Parts: sequence; C-alpha cells; structure tokens
Amino acid sequence: MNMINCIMHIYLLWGIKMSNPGVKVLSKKKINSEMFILEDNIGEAIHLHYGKTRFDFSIKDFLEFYNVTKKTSFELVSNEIFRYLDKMDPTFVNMFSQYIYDIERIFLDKIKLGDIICQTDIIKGRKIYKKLTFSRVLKFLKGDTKDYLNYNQENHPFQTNEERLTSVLNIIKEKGYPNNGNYIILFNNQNFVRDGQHRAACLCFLYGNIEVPVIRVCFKHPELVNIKIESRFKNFMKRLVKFVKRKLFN
Amino acid sequence: MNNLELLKELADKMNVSIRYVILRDGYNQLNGDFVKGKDIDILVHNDDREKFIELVKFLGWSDRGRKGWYHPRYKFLYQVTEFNQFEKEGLILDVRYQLVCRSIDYFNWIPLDMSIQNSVWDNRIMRGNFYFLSDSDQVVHLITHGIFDKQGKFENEYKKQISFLLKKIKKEDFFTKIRPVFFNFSEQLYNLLITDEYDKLYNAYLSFVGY
Repeated sequence: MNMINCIMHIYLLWGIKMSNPGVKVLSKKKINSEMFILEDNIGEAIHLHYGKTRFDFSIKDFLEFYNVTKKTSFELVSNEIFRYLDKMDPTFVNMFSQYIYDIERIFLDKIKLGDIICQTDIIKGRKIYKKLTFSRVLKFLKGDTKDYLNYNQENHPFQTNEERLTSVLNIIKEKGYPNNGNYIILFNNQNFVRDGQHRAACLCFLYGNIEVPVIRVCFKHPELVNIKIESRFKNFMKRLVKFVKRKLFN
Repeated sequence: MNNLELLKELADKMNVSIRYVILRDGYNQLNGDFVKGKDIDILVHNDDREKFIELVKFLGWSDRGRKGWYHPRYKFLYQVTEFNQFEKEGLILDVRYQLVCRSIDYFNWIPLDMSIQNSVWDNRIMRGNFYFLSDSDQVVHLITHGIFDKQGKFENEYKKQISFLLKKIKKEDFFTKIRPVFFNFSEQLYNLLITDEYDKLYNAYLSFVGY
C-alpha cells in the first residue's frame, strides 16, 4: 500500500464527538479483548475502530487497505492454502478466520451427496444434524417449503431465502459445479457441510446421489473446529442446570 | 383556553428565563390555523430543563411520560437527553433538549454537530410571542428531519419551507451549516433540493460513494 498516497488519520477516541447520523456498522467483533468496529460514515469516511484508536479512510483507500490486509493475512499461510482460501466466500472465511493459522492442509476430495450431513433444525437449543436428504433446502426444492421460508438466513441481507436459492440453482444449471472454484467445504474428516449446503441440495435435486468434488480443510488441532454432537441427555442436563441456577439466583 | 392561548401563556413565562425555540411550525399552528391532532415541537436548552419542567407543571401541564412516542429500542446517544411530552387540554408539547435526528438504523437518536447546537441559541429569532430557529438552522433541521426522522419522506409544507428558505439564505451559510451533517454529499443534496427532487434524495444519500 502506498502510504504517501493513502490518507489515514489516526485519532484517539477520547473527546471526539460524533456528528454524522449516517453511520452504517459494517462489521463488529472482539479481537484480542479489544473491539474491532468497521463503519461506513456516509459522505465522510470509512472508520475502522480498534480499541481506542480510529483510522479514517476514503472508500478507495479502504478497498486498497482491504486488499493489502487480505494479501498479508494470507501470507501467514502457505501459498497452496492461500490459493484455496482466496476462492472461498469471504463471509465464510471470516467465520473461521481466527483458526487460519492452524490450517495444516487443504485438498480436493470426493464425496457422495447422500453422505453429506447438514444442520436441519434447532430444538430447545440443541442443533440437529441429519443427512442432506433431510435438508430444509432440499425439502424446499421438492415442494415442502415451510421450514426453508421460515429459516432466518444471516449472510445474504438483500435476498429472500427463495431468491438466494433460485440464484444458486440457476448458476449450477448454467455454469455447472464448481463454478469459479467455489467448492462445497468440509472440515477435517467430518462430513458436516461448512459452506455450500445450497449447492449440495441443488446438485442432489438435479442429479441425485452423485459423487461430487469438495474441499477438505484440515487443521493441526481438529478439536478447535470439529462439530461435537451433544447427546440428548447431556443437553437436557445442561438446560436443567441453567433452569435451577436461574431460580436460585433470580 | 384555546391552543394558541395556552402556548402564549407558556411562552410569556418562558421568555423571561428559559431558552427555547419552536421547531418546524409546519402547519402554521402558531398563527391559529390548527390542524387537529398535531403536536407542538419545542426545543428547550438542556441547562434550563429542570426550570422548564417545574414551570409547565405549575401551569397545569401533565407529564405523559413515555406514552405515545417511546419505543423500547430507542437509544439516546452521545449524551442526548431523553425527550418529554406534556399535555394540557388536548394540546401535546413534544420537548427535546438538543437538536437531534434519528440515525439511519432508525432507533438511535443522535445530536447534530455542536456548531449547529450552539447556533440555535446564538441566532434564534423572536416572531410575535415566540422564539424560532434562525432561517439557516431551520432549513438544516427540516432537511435532517425529512431525511433521517422520516426516511426521505418530506411533508409538502416542509418542502415549501425549505425551498423558500434556500432562496432567502446565503449559499455559503447553507453549506457551513449542512456540511457537518452531510459532508461530501452536501453539494449533491443542495442540487437535489433546488430542483425539488425530494423523491430521489434518500436513495441518493444512501448510495453516495464520493468520499
């Protein structure tokens, strides 16, 4: 990044009074016990807050900063791993970004669609995982629409569930799978789909239980990311303890 | 007493020692042409808040608390004082203590820039019995009210006021006031206002990338 051309103003936040009502929070998370907040202040600047420090960018400078930061962070991993990460949905990468340093290898694998497992429901706080044939997305494609339409998707704010699924289905029909290197992603030796349930459901709907290429991301410490299936009994006990604590310390 | 008399009674007492301005007055309420059901919006200096509350209660206005205006998701940011509402004989007084507007996520109330807050008190003008915002403060307030409080919907009366005031005030004064709120969007905002393109304003603002 050309620091001379890039205008960055570093402010200490004490005593600064905000006056711009047109603020959209783009991202907010805790990193190393400090708050990281990214805001679009319409007409003014992109603000990046980290703890008590603030960086101001123009939109152009921020996009340049983003590209440099992405390149730098991917340089923490091998070129081979970077090649795969660069093709993944950035929202998905963000979700496991704190474990990127722990990636051991990424490779192409094959799996039958019927062996893919996905989250199908949450019942009394317990996530339910079943084979792809029970996926709410696949059920919608087959005409059972209720579960999918009621599902609150988080990462596509400007699309309804139906619009999103239609878009994925059309891309697979027109351009095939994988399009532009966007593989279904699994972690370690588990078959839980981490990214790509819509693609998997569309493929299953169109072609049945075929074998498809997927990406497996393997971590040095798989326990950091592996999905642990909680037994019904354990879940019940957890909820019972919570209930008793609430009553005792209310 | 009719509404105008109620307000005159209040203003006579306030004019002595309580700093206030009437906001908007879009429906010519203070000329006596009352529209049923409209509130009177008033801004009181935050330092005079306690004196003001004591006075209205003394004059028989009842405190409506949060009834009719408050939403549980409201947040009053950057030390904005929570609003009050008082009622007497059917007339409702909507009281603010800083010149504020909603943030674009709708539920946060944000004070306008300090330069505008100070200007309200330094430049308020008296017409008849009442204090009002100066022309340049009024136009800023009407614009922020339309864009932020009403998400781009401007009432016809306010559009007329804005058009009238834009012809009256100096262009430099307008930009001095509006820039701390709209920054680089100020020029485009001005151009849309003078061509009466109110229907394009809100989307133009949200999609603006010239910064």
